[in-house]
Amino acid sequence: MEQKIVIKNLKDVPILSMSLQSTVWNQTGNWRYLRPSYVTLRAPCSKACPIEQDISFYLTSLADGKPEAAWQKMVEANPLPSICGRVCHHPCEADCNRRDYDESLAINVLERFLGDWGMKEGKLNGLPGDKRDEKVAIIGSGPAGLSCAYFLARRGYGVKIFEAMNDPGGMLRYGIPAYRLPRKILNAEIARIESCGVEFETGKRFGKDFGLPDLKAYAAVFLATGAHAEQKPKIPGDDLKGVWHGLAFLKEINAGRRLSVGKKVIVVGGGNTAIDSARVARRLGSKVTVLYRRAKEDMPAIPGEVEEAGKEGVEFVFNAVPVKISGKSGKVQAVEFVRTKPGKPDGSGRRAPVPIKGSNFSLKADSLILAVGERADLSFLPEGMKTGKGLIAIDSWGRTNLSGIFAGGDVATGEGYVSQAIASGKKTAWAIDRFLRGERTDPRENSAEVVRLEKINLDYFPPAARAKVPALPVKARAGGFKEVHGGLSSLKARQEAERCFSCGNCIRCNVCLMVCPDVAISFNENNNEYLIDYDHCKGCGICSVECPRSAMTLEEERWNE
Amino acid sequence: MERVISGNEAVAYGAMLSRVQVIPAYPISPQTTIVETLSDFCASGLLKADFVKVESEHSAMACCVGAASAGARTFTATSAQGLALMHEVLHWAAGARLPIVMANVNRAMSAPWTMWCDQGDSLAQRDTGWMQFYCEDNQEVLDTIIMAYRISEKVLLPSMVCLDGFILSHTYEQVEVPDIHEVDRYLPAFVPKFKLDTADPHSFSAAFLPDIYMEQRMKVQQAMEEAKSVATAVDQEFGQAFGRSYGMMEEYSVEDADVLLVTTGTVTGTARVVVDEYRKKGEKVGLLKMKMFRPFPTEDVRRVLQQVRKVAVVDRNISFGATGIFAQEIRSVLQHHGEGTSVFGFIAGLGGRDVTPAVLKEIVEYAKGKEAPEGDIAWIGVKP
Repeated sequence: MEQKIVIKNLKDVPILSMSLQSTVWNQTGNWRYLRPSYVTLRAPCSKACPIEQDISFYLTSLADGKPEAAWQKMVEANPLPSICGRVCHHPCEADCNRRDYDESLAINVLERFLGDWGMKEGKLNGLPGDKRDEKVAIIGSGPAGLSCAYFLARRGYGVKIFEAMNDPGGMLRYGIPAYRLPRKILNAEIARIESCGVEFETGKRFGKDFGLPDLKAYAAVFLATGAHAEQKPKIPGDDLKGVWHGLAFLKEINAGRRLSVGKKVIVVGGGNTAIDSARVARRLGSKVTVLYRRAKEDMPAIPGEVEEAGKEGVEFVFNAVPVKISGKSGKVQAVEFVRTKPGKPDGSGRRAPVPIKGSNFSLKADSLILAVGERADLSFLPEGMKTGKGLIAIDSWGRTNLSGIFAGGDVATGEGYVSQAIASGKKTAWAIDRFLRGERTDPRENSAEVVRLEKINLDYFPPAARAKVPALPVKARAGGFKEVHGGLSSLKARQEAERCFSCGNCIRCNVCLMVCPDVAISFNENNNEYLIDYDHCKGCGICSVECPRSAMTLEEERWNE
Repeated sequence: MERVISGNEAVAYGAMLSRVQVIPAYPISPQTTIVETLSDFCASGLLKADFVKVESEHSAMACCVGAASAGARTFTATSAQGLALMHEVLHWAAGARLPIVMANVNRAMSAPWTMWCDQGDSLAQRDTGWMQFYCEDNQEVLDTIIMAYRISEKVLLPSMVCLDGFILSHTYEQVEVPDIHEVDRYLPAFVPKFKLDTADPHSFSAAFLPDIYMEQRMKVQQAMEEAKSVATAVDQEFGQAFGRSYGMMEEYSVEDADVLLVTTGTVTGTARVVVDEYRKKGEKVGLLKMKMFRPFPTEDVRRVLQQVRKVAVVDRNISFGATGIFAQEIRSVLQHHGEGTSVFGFIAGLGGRDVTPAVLKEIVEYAKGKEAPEGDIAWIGVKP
């Protein structure tokens, strides 16, 4: 700028044009009419996850060979990763952007990998620095109760869980069979929650052994007693020996009792309890047929579980309901069914099954397991507590109509999946904390845009096959409760994690930095962030367009504002 | 060490021995195996270079410009339409005085679709400011790549090393691959005088106003003139170091020739056989092999041709609406300097048609049988 170049003769003419001085003074950023910036958008998996885990973050850490960081991030959001990694219905995978590209990420088994990694390494949650004076009582030690306890303990509250059964875990222990969730995994997860300072008192039934007046020392109570009341359709002959109700049957088995169900077992129902009962009966050596009143696609059971049941030899008959159970010497001998067809839509939006006259048929059976649904048991509720639709009535915070009494999980939501119960417990822990601090504002919804496949720059992602989850050969499953699915090796887990698009989340891949023609992007190692030099960014937009995962935006520059 | 390698592998070995640092390249037949071999060299660690996969030849050359501006020894390779796609950036590389070396595997231009050899592709780029060297065999290809870096880095102009598609690119020959440490001594690392450096930012290639643009062009021309002696010296030094040298042109049995063939590329090898046969019969036929086309070795060519009465230029190209390009150049060289020399312009071997000894004999006989050319072009071997 200061030096004027004067060229008088041919000798002075340079062979090429190059400025003599630095060009940093030339703030080409003022040519910009588009402004790139970094954003964090929502990955569809995180949005689909009931507990909104930052899946992209922990998969990226795993892919980077940092399982510790991945585990830490995971347990910030998920109190029971090794359990979820086995029994979650994983809506994250159904919504994974990669599903529409090649195959969705095997998120569920990676969750399991990380949970098990932490368990193997003996990782414990860090304890909060600030202890709070208030204590909270939690009724029920199923996933909702454990989750609520975990998040309250991590906020510094004293927490005690009261459990009616002899061992904690609720449906995790008494509903889900060991071949899906080995007891040592369940025990280890509960032990980790205990290590956060949570106390357990088992064998104490709320509403019978104690009640609200006994909980005066607690500043808040969370009711999470689950859905243990089985629906029992009235069928002639249901008092015969050999007629079971699904949950009761599973509870017996899961409490360690070996039952004899005979050679031929019929299971009625299409939910997870029905499928679990069928697979358990199969393991006891019986021939098993599941009959469901609607079509296969209407089954509320997790599809993968239905598939495994099929592999194990469980047979299915659809569109049939039981009408009569016949027996001999007080014992079940056969069940009579009538075929159904779809009628008008019912409350669930599905078409209600309508019996077809004269289509009755009969199947021989030594046992019949009726597993047509569970409801919340509301018989124990304290006086004056409001209910509705067969559930404890709660507001968006999880508050019941009684001050300081909260409720969640299946007893209050009726949702049914483990991860939903964990979400309910987590959300209520947040609400109890707010309540005890006297805060009243409602939670802010995460309104960030969800990144869909069209926003992913697929040029950066070569197709790659999804990791295969190892499974026990069907022959090896019979006669025992060995876990059916295996985990991934470290190498396989890392390779699978590398498939993650990390939708809407910057993973410091350096593409923006490399493609910037103005060298206007730098990386700050101190805070692990990119910095855009807006004095020299001309707003060409290449960084934002190239960003493989839509973690940059390009917006109109508003110089006047 | 001796290896039996294809012309394309010879190119890759030449680049590897030159320790090129950046290779932005896009595949095109018949050049593809150059890119593949270099990519293998990079993958195996034999060559420590940044191999940049690009989406087109235009990007390849643009990337070369960037890398060379940052001071890296830069290499790429292409053919035909790929070279044509680079056209705009070729001017930039030369004007910015970047010593890039590129192999062009000569392939005829389309349409109609073709993959076979002629030299129309590289000759169409004659005015871009690139030096051009045409090779006769695989050994010369390998050696010329190395020499091209010496020449380019001295005069600061890019070099195009040309080899005939398939005839060299896919033909295996015995080639002496020099020891890399000897090549290191012959071709030291490039130390650029000016380079892009983010720590010390300068503006490059900004506008020259009309008051000095012309002078800058003159300097390019001066560099081209300088390249003639530089190339000759580099070639001689190569001979001292490795025992092989080629000259920027080669006179073969030129003494008292009645008819002198002028050839380039692989036609030269065939012409040597034909000339030997004529000489054996006592007929005075000679050969001038043109290796360097840009800069054109005007003085040397003029010196040789002034002694000859009939010159038969074999052009494996055609400048539509004019003549064969070598014939044009040679006619202009002789203007006012060779009144006694008749220049016969022959077009042969377009689009991969073989130029056999019989074709060359037909050319010689044609020139022998006529006092002077009947026109500017004689098409050889075309259907009646």
